[in-house]
Amino acid sequence: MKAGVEAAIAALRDHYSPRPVHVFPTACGGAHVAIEDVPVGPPFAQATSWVGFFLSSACPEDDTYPFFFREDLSLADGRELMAPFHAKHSFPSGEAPGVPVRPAVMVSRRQRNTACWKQESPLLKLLAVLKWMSQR
Amino acid sequence: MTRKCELRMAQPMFDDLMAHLFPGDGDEHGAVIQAGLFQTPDGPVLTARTLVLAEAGKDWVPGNRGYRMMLARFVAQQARQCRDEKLVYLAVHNHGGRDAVAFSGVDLESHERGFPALLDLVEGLPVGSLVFAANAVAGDIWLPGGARLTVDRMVVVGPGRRVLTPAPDRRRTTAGARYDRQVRLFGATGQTILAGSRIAIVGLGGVGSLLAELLARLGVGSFVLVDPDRVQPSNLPRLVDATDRDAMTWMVAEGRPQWMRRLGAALATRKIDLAARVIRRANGNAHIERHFSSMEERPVVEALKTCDYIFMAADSHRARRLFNALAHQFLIPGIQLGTRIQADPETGAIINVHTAARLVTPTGGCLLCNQAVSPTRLREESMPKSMLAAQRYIDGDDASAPSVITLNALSASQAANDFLFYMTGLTSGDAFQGTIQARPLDRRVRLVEPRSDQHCPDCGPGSRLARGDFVPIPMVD
Ligand SMILES: [Zn+2]
Repeated sequence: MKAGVEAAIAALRDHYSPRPVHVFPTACGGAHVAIEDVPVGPPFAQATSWVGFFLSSACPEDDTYPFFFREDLSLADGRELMAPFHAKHSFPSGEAPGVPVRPAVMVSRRQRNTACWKQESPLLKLLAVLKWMSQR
Repeated sequence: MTRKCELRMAQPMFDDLMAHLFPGDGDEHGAVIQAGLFQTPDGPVLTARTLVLAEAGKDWVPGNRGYRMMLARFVAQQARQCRDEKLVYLAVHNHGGRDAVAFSGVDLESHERGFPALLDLVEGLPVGSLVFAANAVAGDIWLPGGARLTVDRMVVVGPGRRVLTPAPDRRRTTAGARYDRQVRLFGATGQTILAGSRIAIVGLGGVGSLLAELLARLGVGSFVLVDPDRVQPSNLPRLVDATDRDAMTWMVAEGRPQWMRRLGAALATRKIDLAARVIRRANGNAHIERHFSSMEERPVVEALKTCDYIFMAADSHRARRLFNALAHQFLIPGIQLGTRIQADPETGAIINVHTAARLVTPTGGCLLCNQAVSPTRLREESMPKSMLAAQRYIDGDDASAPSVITLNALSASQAANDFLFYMTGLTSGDAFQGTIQARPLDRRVRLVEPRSDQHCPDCGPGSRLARGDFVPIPMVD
């Protein structure tokens, strides 16, 4: 794995310890990452979910998206999940030999076009997405 | 034997330093430069990062042995900062004279007395001293372990390039009949500078191919060529000297069996080899180093570090990201080239065509600050194809974007001229340093002023700027 990917994973492990963080390195120096038992916040019917995402070989220079959650993720008040939530996806997406595939809900939030370059680590990006989700 | 090294400095710092050392009083003045350092096969290069002027009467006082000296407290403070920031401590002062300069016996004695303790203080980094005349510089650099370096030249990276040496170069320069017409513009000295220059072209598609032709005809002496692709039939209208044989057109044609098309694609000429052929024809003496890979490989980065100028003619944002880091970290100026052809998504009608030549220098035109690198595009370029498809992000393949040789020629000629007049030092001091956009549909040219952001990781105060080998390079381990 590329040094940037290793550093991002170290930060994620540090933050989410003792929850399991599964790492599946890819051939080009990136990794598929899945974290178990992450709290998703009161708007959701479920207390926790696993979170899956891909760290590319450009990490942490690139924007990390999308994130994947358990396939039955739903809002507690019964409202439909709308875009950028997308049901019927799977993690990891595309071909990923050797990585167990989980059916998933995909959440795709891209970094807004800021006037200046902003580097956001995968951990910070994940926390920002979770915060945004907790405000649905 | 004493090895040689180069010192590199951006123009604004040089101007500040000269104003401080030569205010017109004929006296000696002092300063400290904190510099990055990087290694190349031709020797180490020091990159001036911070200039600290020694204030007369406070940090710069009458000396015990010499005429003037820097106060020990000031020296220790600067050296500790160098240790903490992983920069090379360089004490600076000036002598009189103009085109030649050397350390005095008193100067050298002070190095013998002071540098061993300074080396201890900076913990494993070199320390050194520079002495300036109005148009000359000499340097004495001490490495940990006892080796020494002399500074044999200083390159000032500004709108035009300027070189200072310890003494005037007395070698005669002749250009011969071949270059007679262009020597009438920039002189035999200019021609010699071009012959001694080393440039990189990253991306040998439509724009890079024209650059190879232009720069080789000018007489540039040394090339680094980087491209991971082979010639395809759809490239033929834009690549200089390319033929159907280079593209293996008959084998890869539609309707041929799969195996034959694959074989044809594998046998097609590498774009770097085509460009090397073009360069050889124009200048048989040129030195050419080829890299059949993307830019993000360690050997490519090491080759780029040895260049005087980088032409960024690859389309990818990953390449742009890396180029921007190298330009700032190693103080290598360059230019990024692109063409944008916008069609109305509904009707398909062309609504905008422009070509852009963006100067990227240590003091302006940062691609991060000017929104020329997008984290979203970096992401898309870094995802496997099957993942992009599964996430339904496929929005247009770059390979099939419109591309026309005459548009490529606009930005290639702009860039080649920018390099020519930079390298020979002929660019005016107040030349426009931003992006030049040519808009051929309305026959207009737009000048885009560059911006810069204090928090930028490449060009801001806390950035990788001029740090050399002491900080990692993005995406390259
Ligand atoms: Zn910047």
